Amino acid sequence: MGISEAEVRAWAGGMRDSDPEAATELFHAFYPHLFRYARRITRDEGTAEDVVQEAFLRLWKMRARLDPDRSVRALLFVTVRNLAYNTQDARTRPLQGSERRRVRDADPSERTNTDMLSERLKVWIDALPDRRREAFHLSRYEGLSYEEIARVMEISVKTVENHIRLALKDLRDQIRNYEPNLLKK
Amino acid sequence: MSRLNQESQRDAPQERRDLEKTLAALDEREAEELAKTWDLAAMAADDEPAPERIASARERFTAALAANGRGSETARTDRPRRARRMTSQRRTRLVAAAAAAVGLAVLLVILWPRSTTLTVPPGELADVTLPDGSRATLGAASTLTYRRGPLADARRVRLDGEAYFTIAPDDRSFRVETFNATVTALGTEFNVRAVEESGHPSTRVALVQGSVRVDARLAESVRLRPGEMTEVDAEGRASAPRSVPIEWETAWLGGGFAVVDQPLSAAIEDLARRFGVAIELQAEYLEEDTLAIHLPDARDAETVLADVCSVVGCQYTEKQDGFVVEARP
Repeated sequence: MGISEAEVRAWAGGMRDSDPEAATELFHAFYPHLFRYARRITRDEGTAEDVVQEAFLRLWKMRARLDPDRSVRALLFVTVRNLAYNTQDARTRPLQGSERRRVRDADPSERTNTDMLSERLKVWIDALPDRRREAFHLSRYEGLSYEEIARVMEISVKTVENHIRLALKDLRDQIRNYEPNLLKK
Repeated sequence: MSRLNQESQRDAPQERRDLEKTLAALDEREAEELAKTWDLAAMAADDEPAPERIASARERFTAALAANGRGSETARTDRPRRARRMTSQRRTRLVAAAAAAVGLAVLLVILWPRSTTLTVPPGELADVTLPDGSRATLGAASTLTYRRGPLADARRVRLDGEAYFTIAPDDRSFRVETFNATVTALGTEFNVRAVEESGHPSTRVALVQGSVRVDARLAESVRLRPGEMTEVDAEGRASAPRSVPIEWETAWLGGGFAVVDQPLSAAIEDLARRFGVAIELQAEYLEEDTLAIHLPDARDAETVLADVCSVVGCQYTEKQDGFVVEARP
């Protein structure tokens, strides 16, 4: 989230000049975000790790053609997305990640755990339609702009905005049901 | 709080600017609720990979770069030069240290730093400007110790309790020491809450701007990014960075009270400390129930108790020096 446009541009410029330090800095800054994104798709940490490594190596190999003014952030996420969806894990495991959490939610003996707001929020977010959840994740947690998300998901900026607005409304309704005080000013 | 809001708007990351556009098209109440929802959703972020995993992935990537040509060249020519520089540097430092030691012994007597301790009583806040120009807002029932004088390390303080720091930029890092952790910062704003006398002794560090590093006895250094929090437990283990609604973590600055997914017993303890009252929790089975609550205006302990009880399902009675909290029959 806290990765500024200026930093990314500087690293991308450095990479174009074949500076391995710049590549490593870029890697370090984006690794946690790309890893989480890849893990959501592949549902496997080892595969996610390989996907992110491969994405950065591809970026390094095409460094001469990098345009620091075009979003390198979006390019990285596009690459990770394509690689991740092409892995065996993504093809054999269901994308719908909510089953496990839903089961836990229904078990009354785990009440305190699922009573936590953070756990609840995770369940509600997981229950969003796939595309909406993906757009919301990229926007809320991985720091992408609507325009970048549009590029990554191959949809229009307007559609991205709709996804985010509907996701927030849905979550708002859930929070209101759970504890209306939380929405108070 | 208004200071925080202004700053978060100026430095709003791209995704937040986009959100503002979305909200601008809605009516005020809905926009406000959706903004709150956005903030609360911070809690539901997927876990970040562990620091060790990031470190090993980075190593793997550096190795792959080197194997790809170009990268290895620069690394190899650099290394011997750097090593030589370090030895000569060490020698100069040794000589300088020996000479300085003699003069220092004399000077020390005259210039020994004087320690300053600031304690804020329950129910109050205090603003302090530290010797290096950094500012701190000290929370209720909290103590800050620092040293003044020409020899004092102006970039080091000790904290028991809660404080919000706005660090003056400087080449040297700024350190906050607590009973179980050290927070190191460079030009940044962050909140530290260190409570040793508690059923849940811990140091919580939440970062608003810039970057900080947290060191604890049993953990690798944890680096926080804006919006993230880590908690060091009594044994000195630091939790992996976790996203939090930052205005909850700093609610106390504006006179508010917030608890983010904490057991009721910890929340009650917090409340008692803050207002300097005794609160007895006589509802064992409620103690570990987790609670998320945010009151922008916490006038006194009773206002907060009333709200907490309406959420958790408890009732309280006043006694001479505080309150007793029981499960609602």
